[in-house]
Amino acid sequence: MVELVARSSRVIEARLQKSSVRAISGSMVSYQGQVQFKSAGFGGGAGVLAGLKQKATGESLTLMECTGDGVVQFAVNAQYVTVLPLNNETMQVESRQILALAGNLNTNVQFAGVGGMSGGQGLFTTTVSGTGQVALLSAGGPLIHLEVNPNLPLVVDPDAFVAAKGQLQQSFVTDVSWRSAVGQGGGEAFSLRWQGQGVVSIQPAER
Amino acid sequence: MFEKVNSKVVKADLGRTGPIVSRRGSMLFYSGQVHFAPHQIPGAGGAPGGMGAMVGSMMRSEHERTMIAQGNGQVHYGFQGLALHVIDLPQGGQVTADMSRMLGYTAGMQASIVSTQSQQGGGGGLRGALRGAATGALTGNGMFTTQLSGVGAVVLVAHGELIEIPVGNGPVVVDPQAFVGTVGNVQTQLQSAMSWRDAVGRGSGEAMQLQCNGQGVVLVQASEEKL
Repeated sequence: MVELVARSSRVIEARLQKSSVRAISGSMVSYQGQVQFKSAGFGGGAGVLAGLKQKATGESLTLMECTGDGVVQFAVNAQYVTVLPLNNETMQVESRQILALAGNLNTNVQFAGVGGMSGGQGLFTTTVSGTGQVALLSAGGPLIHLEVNPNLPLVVDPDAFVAAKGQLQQSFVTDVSWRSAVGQGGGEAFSLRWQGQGVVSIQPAER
Repeated sequence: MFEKVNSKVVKADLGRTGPIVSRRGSMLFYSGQVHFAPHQIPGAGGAPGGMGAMVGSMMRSEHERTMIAQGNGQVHYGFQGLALHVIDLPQGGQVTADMSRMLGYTAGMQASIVSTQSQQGGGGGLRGALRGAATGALTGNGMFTTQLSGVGAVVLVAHGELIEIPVGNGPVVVDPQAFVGTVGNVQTQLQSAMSWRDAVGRGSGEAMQLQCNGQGVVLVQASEEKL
């Protein structure tokens, strides 16, 4: 078993007992005990296809596997950390906000939107599914969890979106009218709209 | 000693702490009768000529410009919005960190600039110095580091908050970029965790590691960003 615990608001700790945890390459800040680090490939699934997917989608998730007996501390760029449990569920995550994955979890890259957005963001989404713990990064402060129910759809800035869990449909809201096309826009050209039942997590900063 | 106002500001009441040595430009505001004067760590001057001059200039780069605050009043310190970490040593002891990491300390502490090599037991002299320079090039840390010992308090700066990891039951291994300093009797040694596989680009990204042994605490920041 592996347990992920928040060591401080910006550092998580993985406690290994002859087990392993996956984390973003280069995110180890320190460790105690007998731990080996090796590359675990890309987060788009397994094998060559994952590498091709990564190239095609730009979803950059390069993982390392940390195996052994000991305690490892992970952090990236002093960002805040949140550990979320997944219980046979699927979560949609912005790939660069993933810090570590523990348990029986699979990652994949899915085509999530149509409409030919040129923003390059949100068209592809990384999904994490299974049972275990996910450690997520957030800039500017701790993650903010927003509840979505059928009566109350939620619209978020794609640059602040971090993760979504539950029975949710994602769609794009375009606010590009003739006015904004000639340069008088409100600065929020694309928004992500979430409908259904679930929780959307955002960070209090824009990428 | 130092009182934390929030994660980025500390307050010192000079009446209780005595004079405070701090990095120049770190004073935010003060109240009361406080005088600031330039301050120099003894031994940071460097000797003229040859190898000694080279070492001296490296030591000077280790020496940040510092000032001393004396008098009666309250001084608030902060630096570039970085997270601050206060270490109290009421029973005596030592704190080792790069001078750039030190925001301030009580003037009763004994400050000295030490070679990271002699501290590692890597041998002194020219060879030690060269090895130190090579180590510094790899880690981005200098070959000299500042050691404060005695009874008092020290304030360190970090990108993101610091965590303290105890050393004693076996070594603690740290990413050199996340390493801030040590408290107590801790030796550091740089090692390479790189194998042939890593060299061809399939690595985990953890090629260089700093091993810490001894008795004490290792200070690690939540970031790989240098100051």
